[in-house]
Amino acid sequence: MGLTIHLQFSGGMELLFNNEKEKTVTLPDTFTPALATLKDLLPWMRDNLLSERAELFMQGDTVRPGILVLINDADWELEGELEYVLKDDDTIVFISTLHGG
Amino acid sequence: MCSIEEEIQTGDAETPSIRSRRRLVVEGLCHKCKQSPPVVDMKRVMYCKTCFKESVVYRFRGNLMRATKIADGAKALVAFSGGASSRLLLHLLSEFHEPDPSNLRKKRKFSDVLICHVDQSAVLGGEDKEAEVRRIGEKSGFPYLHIPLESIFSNDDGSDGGALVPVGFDLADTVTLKMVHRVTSTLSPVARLRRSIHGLGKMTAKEDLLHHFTMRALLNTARKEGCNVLILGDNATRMAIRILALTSKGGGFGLPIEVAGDTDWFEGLVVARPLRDVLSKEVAVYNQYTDLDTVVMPALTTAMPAKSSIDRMTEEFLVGLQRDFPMTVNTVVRTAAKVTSEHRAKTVMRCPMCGGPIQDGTNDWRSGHTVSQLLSHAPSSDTTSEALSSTSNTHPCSTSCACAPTVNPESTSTSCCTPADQPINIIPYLCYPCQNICRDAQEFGATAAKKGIDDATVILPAYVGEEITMRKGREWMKKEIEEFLIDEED
Ligand SMILES: [Zn+2]
Ligand SMILES: [Zn+2]
Repeated sequence: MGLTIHLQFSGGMELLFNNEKEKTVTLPDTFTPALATLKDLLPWMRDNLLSERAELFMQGDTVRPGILVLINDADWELEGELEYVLKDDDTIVFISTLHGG
Repeated sequence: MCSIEEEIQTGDAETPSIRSRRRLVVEGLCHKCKQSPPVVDMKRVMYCKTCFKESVVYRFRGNLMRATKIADGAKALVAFSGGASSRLLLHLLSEFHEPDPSNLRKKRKFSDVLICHVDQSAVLGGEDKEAEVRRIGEKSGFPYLHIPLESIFSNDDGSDGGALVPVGFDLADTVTLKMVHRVTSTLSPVARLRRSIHGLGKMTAKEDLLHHFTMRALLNTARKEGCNVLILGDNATRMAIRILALTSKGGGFGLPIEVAGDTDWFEGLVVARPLRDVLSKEVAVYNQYTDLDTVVMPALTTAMPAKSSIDRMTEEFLVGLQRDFPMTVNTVVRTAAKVTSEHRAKTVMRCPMCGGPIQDGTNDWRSGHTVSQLLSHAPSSDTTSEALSSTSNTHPCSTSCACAPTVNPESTSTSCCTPADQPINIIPYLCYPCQNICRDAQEFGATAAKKGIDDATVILPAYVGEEITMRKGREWMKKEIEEFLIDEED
């Protein structure tokens, strides 16, 4: 049974993800519990969920500057950013703070 | 004041001096209350949810209370776009406006608060989102005013204000944009607004004009409603972007007005920006923690590449820098706040297009820095003037009035009647950044006319022409009476 993650998008991020503000996903078995990190999740989201241009979501292996990430309501900068180890039932919020989306 | 960081570093180095013990950081706990685990990292300071929200509210209230130019009991107009920053502004203001339950006799800062939403959908689309913006606005309990941006083409009483239309274009002469006032028009205000924006070529010029129009609509509404204060939701990140963009567009002279926490530059109105030291990240986090819903409105550069306009490119640059250097935004805003210009000098004129100050000698500077062709060419297109009928071509005044057609155009008009319908080159009357908008309009119009495209010519609201005419009138009058004046400084 794969990890279940709740994703939320706002501030214009939803426009990149089929205009959905919320989406619960079950990650495939390639995501090993207690090992898989946010660094693995981002490209998976890009390849499987993103409906618009990838450069508006990611830059290199991380999110584009100006996109705020909250993990279970906490600033991802306090959670190790890309190194954060995904847990079952996590809620991850992506908020665009950019003007020109 | 700004010693939090230094003290935290002292803590990290595990050599706390007695002085800094109060601020000592406890590993794994909020830097402020040292009780709850931190959830937000702002400029390397870690807060728990409660302390974070408190710090935002504290700065907001502090900025309003410190705004000495705002008299107690003032009537306020709040600009509300529906976006994150103005949503937070509305929320904080409605809390701020609540009577203090512990001290019911305490006076409120504002007697009344009105919400003003300028509807830009005629240019940007997104009409379907207007209802949602209204719903959120009305939820606050404040009266909600919906102002369509195209209203800037109407007079205060709602009647048709006519418009300024170009009289021909000349690709070789980019320092001239001749326009004439047409009293009536077959074009609806919406069509005129679209022509103003779409009569420009570069995205930067479009964004600038849209900004000036929106500001104008807000100021008009505030004055009409008898407000003393206009409150804007500009946050620190947005201000830093604006500061850098404005500087690179040659708008440095007006910077003190843009950066001020409160400014009375706008005759009879104080413009306040209480979120000026709250980062856009903080806005987003606060809204998330408080479940404040926002509406995502399209912008001119939505989903466009970063290089599509100066503002957009500046945003990309600044936000990228801010990620690696979290003090960038604050440094830019604080540095700009120290900039002074001569914009308060008596000789400084107001720009009829943006309302900002015009630096003395802008035209001399321009002619020294630009290559301009002085050869005159035949006007290549006059299509817009035809679309706008000039039936009201009559002059209400006698021939002795300065606006009568027999008078030499160079000395026209005291402001005794509506602007004369004589073509006038508007460029010399504008501030440097607005001159650039007109040069863009001229270039774009000339190129389009050459290709036989008729409807690519810019239209401007009548007030631009009215203010130029008034200024010309004042200058003319001043010249006439100059020799009778006694110089105060003598
Ligand atoms: Zn705390
Ligand atoms: Zn201007």
